[in-house]
Amino acid sequence: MSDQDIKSKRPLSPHLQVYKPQMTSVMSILHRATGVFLSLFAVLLLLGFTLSVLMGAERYDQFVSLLGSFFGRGILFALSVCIFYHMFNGIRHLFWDSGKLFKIENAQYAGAFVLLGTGAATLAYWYCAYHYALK
Amino acid sequence: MPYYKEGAEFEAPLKTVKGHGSAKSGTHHWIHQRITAVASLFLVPWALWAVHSHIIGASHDEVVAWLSQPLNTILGILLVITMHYHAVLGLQVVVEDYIHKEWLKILKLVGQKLLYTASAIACIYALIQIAN
Repeated sequence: MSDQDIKSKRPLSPHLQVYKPQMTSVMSILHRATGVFLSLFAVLLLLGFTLSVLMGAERYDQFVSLLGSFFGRGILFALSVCIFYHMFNGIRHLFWDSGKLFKIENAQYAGAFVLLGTGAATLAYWYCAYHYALK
Repeated sequence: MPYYKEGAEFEAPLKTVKGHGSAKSGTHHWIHQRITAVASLFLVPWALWAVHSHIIGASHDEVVAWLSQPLNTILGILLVITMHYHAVLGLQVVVEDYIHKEWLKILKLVGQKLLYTASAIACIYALIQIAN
């Protein structure tokens, strides 16, 4: 029996194309997607911030105006959504790690909580940014 | 079926597992991912608060003065280490799950570890220099 024959006999994972999306599975892949996004842009933000502060006032002002541009604010908004989602859903994962929330309806309630929390936290954060911090 | 035992169709041939060592470090990876996650639960809200109260609208001098306070330098360095390490651990799982070409997988795993190490060192160097 060749390697190919063995591979074709192995059990397959679910075919995503014909699978009805469920809240749990969509939120699971979103955790990964936001994680990948954060590992690129949050790290770039840290790097850009620390290095531009080090390089002096002129570079720092350039960095700040880049973030303040339309494009920069878009990235920052996406970053904030990803941070809150990944943080809240990460807490949900930590509950699972400790053996809780395994009943489907509990997993779904916690999921709804994560989604609502993400929306509320993002709105609150940007409301504060415009009404308090930016003044 | 020349050399496989009856009912052993799902066994990996020896040659495909040779050279990878025994699976002794999976738990270690899993635990480190959780430790950095819990650390982030404290450090990230601190950073989000700092952005609002000390960074937005502040001049370069004010940002330098704030970052130079010992507690802020230390928390900043901890944030950099935690985030870079957590990111590398997470990206490693993603690469292992989705990339099946062996050479490309190794290249990505080693490449991202080197890149993130370099990035973390650059951030830490900058934070220490700013505080000086």
